[in-house]
Amino acid sequence: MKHKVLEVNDLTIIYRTLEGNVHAVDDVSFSIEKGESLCLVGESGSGKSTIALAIMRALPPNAKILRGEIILNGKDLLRMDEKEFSKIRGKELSIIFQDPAASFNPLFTVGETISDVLKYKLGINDKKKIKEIALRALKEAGLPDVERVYNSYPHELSGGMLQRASIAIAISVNPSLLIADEPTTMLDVTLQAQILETLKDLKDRLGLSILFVTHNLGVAAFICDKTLIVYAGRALEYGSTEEILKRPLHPYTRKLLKSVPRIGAKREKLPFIPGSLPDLRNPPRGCIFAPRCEEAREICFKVRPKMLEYHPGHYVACHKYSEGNWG
Amino acid sequence: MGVSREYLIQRTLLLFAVVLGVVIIVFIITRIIPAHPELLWAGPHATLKQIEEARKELMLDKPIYVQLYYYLINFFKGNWGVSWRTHRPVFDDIINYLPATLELVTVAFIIAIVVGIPLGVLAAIKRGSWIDAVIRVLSVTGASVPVFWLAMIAQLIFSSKLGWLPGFKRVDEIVVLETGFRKITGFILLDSLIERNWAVFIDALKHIILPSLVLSVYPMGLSARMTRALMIEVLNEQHFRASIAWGIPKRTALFKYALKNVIAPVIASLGLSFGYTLVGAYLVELIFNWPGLGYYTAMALLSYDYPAIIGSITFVAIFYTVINMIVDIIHAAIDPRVKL
Ligand SMILES: Nc1ncnc2c1ncn2[C@@H]1O[C@H](COP(=O)(O)OP(=O)(O)OP(=O)(O)O)[C@@H](O)[C@H]1O
Ligand SMILES: [Mg+2]
Repeated sequence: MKHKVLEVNDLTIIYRTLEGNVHAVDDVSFSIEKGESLCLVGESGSGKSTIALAIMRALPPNAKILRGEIILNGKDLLRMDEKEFSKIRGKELSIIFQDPAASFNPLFTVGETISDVLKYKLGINDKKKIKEIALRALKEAGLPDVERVYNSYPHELSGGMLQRASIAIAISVNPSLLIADEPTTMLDVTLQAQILETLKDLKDRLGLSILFVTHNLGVAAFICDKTLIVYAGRALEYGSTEEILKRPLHPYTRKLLKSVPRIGAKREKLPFIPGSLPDLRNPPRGCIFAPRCEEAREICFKVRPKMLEYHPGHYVACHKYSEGNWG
Repeated sequence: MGVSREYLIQRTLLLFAVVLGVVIIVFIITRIIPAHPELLWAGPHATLKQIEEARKELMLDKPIYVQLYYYLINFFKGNWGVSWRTHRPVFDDIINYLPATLELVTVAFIIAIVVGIPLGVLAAIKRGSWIDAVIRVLSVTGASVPVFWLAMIAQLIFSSKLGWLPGFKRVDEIVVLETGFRKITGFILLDSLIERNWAVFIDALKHIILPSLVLSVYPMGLSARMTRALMIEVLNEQHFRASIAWGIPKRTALFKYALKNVIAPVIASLGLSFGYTLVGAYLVELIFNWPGLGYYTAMALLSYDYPAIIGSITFVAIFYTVINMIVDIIHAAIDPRVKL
């Protein structure tokens, strides 16, 4: 068996608001092996970022983790004190964000930011050495003219270049796990494909493990070995990306597949499925997708379906696939 | 950082327009007030004839636009007229009284920044806690208490009642005489340092504590409030969270990265509030008998000393414009996106 880099078990997270508790993530489990990439796929508001932020221990203050474990290299991140975690943050665990332009402090050059990360995370104090590593990482991330990028302020660089710079920061520390929360959504289409290409290349060459967040199954098909379909905070289907694309089981996944925008297509539209997400402050009792599901039957509105292994390594939470329920 | 020639030309023109406007307005106002400055000029025992001559000499018998015309011509030549009270050139008077005010205001601003900004940062980090509440109440109070009231109370308590600190003047004349202290720049703290005259330095320091503290309360409250608000904003910015997520230690992320985003706007708002602080300085000077521009202007006002009034008010306008130009330049030096 391969070494598991990340294991998320029964993760349940709510946001406390004045209008009541938002059940943003409910009983979600998945795992990532070394050198493997996993995609969290789901429409807007399904809790993908909440999961990613929980792993980074960067949830907003009104969030509360009710249950579950997040195990990175054998250690539970949720049962770690801040001091211990601060050693892991930005070292074993790094991240690239959706909006590259907003990820950099406008008053500091890219070089200053990356150098500070290296200084504190790799514990190097030699300025020349730091710069050397930084330039190498920038090159690795596919940037031309790395010296100029190093000395540039964020507003002097394009979104694509900044996203490559944040990739450089993230990989320069050799993380065990790279989290990428929709890293290409803010970029225009030709750039998207190039950045994905770069990430895939890095994954193959450096053996990076990646948790990739996207609402586009096409992106998942391109870069991810495994896929977890999430909807309104719950996992609906889980398995190898290939298998899910070839043999989608859950009605929601099928809908998603039909509305896949291609990488490089003119504009990336959100998948269109009739209806909208249920109110997460008051989620339905049975299957969370039932209100929008064309195939839903009585049981779907009453009993919450369990995640079952339908094929080896291919899991689905739908009554359709449990014996006896579907008469 | 780049300061373009366009910016300098534009600012110089603006300065010129400000000066022209201020001179005209103040000139007209002073002439409209029914006072008899010729009496002051001629002295207490003047005859009617002497008073008539004084009127002619001061050109008070000419129409107001003629007076204004001559005044403006001379003004831009650097001749700001002769004070009717001190009988010395107004410009020289102003230069003479300026260091005392500058010293007071500078010390007050240093205190305001050094105390106000860290308090604002602390309040932002501890947002919602009792520390935050205390700092907020203090900063709002500080920005709303009238400075003359505070000055009198401070003087009453710490000088008159407790006798901890001197409540009048910049320095004790006896100390000055005994140590043979000489004026170089007019900034006593600076001059005594240059001369290594510690007795005068310490005495001047004691004298400046009360008035500068009183004067610093307003800009301190302002910078604490501004810093808090801006810091809270920055702490919610993606780039702050990114710097933490990428592993930059919290302290560095706060005091190196986030704070830099706060400094420029805080300094800008302090610059804008500079006029208000200067008014405060005038009141403080009067109360603490501080021989600065405020003191000089007040005396000029009380004795209808027209050239001195116009001169000192115009000087303040120039000063204010220049300060804001400096603030612009500081802003451009901090923020690479700003080009002047
Ligand atoms: N700070 C918060 N307070 C309250 N509710 C929140 C907060 N942050 C997110 N939520 C809610 O939690 C749910 C999940 O949000 P999340 O951002 O994880 O979704 P997402 O899948 O990342 O969506 P997107 O594709 O738009 O990024 C949403 O219903 C959202 O409205
Ligand atoms: Mg998101």
